[in-house]
Amino acid sequence: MRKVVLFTLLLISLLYSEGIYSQGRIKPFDSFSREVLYHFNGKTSFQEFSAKELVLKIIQDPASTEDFELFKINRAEIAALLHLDSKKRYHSYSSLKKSELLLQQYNEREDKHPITLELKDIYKNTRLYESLAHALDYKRPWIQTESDSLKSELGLDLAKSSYSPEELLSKIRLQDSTLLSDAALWWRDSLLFQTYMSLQESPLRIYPSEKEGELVSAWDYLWRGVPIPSYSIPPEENSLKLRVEVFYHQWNLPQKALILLGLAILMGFITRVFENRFIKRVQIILLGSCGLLLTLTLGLRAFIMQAPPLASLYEVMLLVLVLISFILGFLSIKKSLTIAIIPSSLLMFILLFFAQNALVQGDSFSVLPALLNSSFWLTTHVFTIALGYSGMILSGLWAHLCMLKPSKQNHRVLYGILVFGMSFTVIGILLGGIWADLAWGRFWGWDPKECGALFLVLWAMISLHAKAGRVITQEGFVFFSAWNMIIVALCWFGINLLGIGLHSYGFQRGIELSLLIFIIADSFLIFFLTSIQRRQMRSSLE
Amino acid sequence: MFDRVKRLLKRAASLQITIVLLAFFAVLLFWGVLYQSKVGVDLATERFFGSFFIWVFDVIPLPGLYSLLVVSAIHLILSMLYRIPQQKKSIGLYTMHLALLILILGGLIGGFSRVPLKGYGIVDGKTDVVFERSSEDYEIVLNDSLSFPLPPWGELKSFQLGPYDFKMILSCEEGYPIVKAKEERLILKNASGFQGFECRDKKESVQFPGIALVVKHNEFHHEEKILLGLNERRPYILTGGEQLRLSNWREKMPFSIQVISVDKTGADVLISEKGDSFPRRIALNVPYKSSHYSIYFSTVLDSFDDQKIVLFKAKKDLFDFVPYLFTILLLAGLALHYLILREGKKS
Repeated sequence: MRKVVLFTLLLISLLYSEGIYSQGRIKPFDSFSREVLYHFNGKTSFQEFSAKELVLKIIQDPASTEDFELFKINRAEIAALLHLDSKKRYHSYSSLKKSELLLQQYNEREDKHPITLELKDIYKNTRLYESLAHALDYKRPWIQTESDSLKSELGLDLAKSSYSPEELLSKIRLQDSTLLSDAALWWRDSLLFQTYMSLQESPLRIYPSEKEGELVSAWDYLWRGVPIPSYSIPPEENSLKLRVEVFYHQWNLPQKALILLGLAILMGFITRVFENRFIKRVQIILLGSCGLLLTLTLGLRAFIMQAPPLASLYEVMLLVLVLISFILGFLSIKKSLTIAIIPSSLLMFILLFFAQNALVQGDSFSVLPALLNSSFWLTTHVFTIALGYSGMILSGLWAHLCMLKPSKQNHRVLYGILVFGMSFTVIGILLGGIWADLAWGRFWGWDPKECGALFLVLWAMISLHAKAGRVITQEGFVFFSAWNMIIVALCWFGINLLGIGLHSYGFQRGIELSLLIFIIADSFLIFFLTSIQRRQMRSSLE
Repeated sequence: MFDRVKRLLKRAASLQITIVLLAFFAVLLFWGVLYQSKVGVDLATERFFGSFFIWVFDVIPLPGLYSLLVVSAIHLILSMLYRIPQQKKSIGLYTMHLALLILILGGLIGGFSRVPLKGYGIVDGKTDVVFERSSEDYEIVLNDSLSFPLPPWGELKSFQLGPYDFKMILSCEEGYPIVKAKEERLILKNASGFQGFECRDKKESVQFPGIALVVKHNEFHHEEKILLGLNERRPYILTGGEQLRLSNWREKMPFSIQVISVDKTGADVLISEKGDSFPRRIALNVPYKSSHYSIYFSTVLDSFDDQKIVLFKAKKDLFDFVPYLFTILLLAGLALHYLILREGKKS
């Protein structure tokens, strides 16, 4: 059985190990195709085709894919604007092509209206489709001439009337310009220009060239008269990384972790009703396996990128999830505090639900900007701040629990987690400051992301000072701390919505609604729990 | 009377005031960040975090960061004097609060004393990179060594630099260069090829802040009338071969830098410091730091004569140690406080 699994893995990895150069890194063709399809419609397959099969079909036989309803349009008014059927969400390239001019006009607009932004995306997607469809144009006989004199002058096959750029260039590349007539010269140069333009726009680049480290386009090969190799050469030194990346996307570990987490929550609820030691043990195993899978995901991402996996917001989210599970494990094993397992698992489920799509959809491996490229400081700063945020999130969660089940021990744990979270957030900020000073020349620059982290610290300091000075009661402290999750959400995700500052790797669109729902839901929950707490206090007084 | 003052000071050191100050900081931060999304990071930072007051609707003053920092510094000192228990077990708390005080005072003084600089060098491995202050202080420089501070625009002075006597005959911030002067009185010599110079009241599309000078060699009595423009890349070459330029106030650095080669991401330079020369690379993300100076690679420009000009950004910050001192003290305070609490629990 083990041999069968290993053989299957090897077969898959061999099939998908071609590397191509795109968006600043060498990636498997599989990742590139996923990215393309994700841009088109947010999916990983289309009808019976996988992403890779579809992209290959667009490249090899573009005419057959022009009517594929590949492009997703979210807003009905946009479909109406483009004279498309507004009841349909998916549209073909041939139908969008009719509105090319309109899309081009919208693409040049500067405003950030949601309709403009979506139209810009549609325009970019059609351009991406076109560049794929023309990727093999250098092999297709699309250059025509009927003039026999021209053919003979340029040394072309007289029996044919259509030639591919590859064929044509191999003949005319070394011809002496002085020996050609004006007509032949003009024809040759215009051909060269057209071919150059179509090949330059091709997203598929060949890596490496004969020279080490050089990236070469199909045009370069044609011009030098070197036969064009397959567009995807497996560079030997990268083949293992590429195979692991294909494996990573196919296995979708975050999704498996999400399922395990869901099952663990279910088991948790069952054990609440039926006290069963076996089910409880299954719950712990499921949670442990989930933590392991998340750690493995982080490890694989680190191996694939050969750098700390902390380049995007979702990777940091993944780290926070791993850290929360570790803190919970510590509290459960060392302090025998199992009370928070179900609510923490629920919180992790929500976080993972949002993160897991981003961690596997499209090409989820972004190249870190050069400005942030420092393995040591990136790891220490992001790890520490993630630890701080984990503590702050858990303190908020614990405060919810304290409202439900007030006890001295719970209050003590809440205080401990809050101090822990705040301390590590402070240390994270300081480490970030040192990094910023070394790299950008300033310790602190009032960047929105920095301000967000500082706001979190100020919030925690207000509650800790208010508690120390007895300005608020124990219940007041719990109430105050209960808002920590919302504050973290605002300072961590909310700040990214502003879209300004140096921490550009954290920007994202489309989370406003989720954030708003979370804030409203948690606010209601806090007030609801406060009312329960008050009722409990009143009844205990009576 | 003394008791009354002491009571008042104790009140000013109370935790309630701490909370109010923290809340003010939080509101200022929240508001400032929202404002950043409206007008950009720089302007919002200047308005909210680089001023004593924020003027709401240009009428109502609210405390800006500097006012809050001043009040917080006083409050911190009072807290350490009157509120925090003066016991051995509070040493961690004291250290943390002292760290904050150092940060606040260092931030305040450092904010006013920091000097932003810009540097430019030629890629020839010989010429020193020149660093100038970004402020509006200018000087007339002979051979990149002798200099005379430029008086306020419009004010004319006579001065001596090396073997030359200088007499300013025109000085204007809103200058207007004349390409080919027709009148004899306007004919001047200039490195950029201008022959005349006029001061005008209204702003013209072409502006050329500069000065016109009569330069006389005090030995050979040779006299020439020249025009020096601010920000002209080439120096004016006097008849005797000396270079003369009008530039921003040049910073005298304790080291010199010569650019050997350059690419888009950085410059390979030779640094001479304290009698020692060593090669370094100053690149994006990799500055050179020494004696409170930080040098950053900015960009590379192609000049008309195929010479590459490398631009650097730099700053002089005498208080650059403050964040580090704060970090060390704060972490030490945190660790001490934790250890003391743990000890207390055990005993």
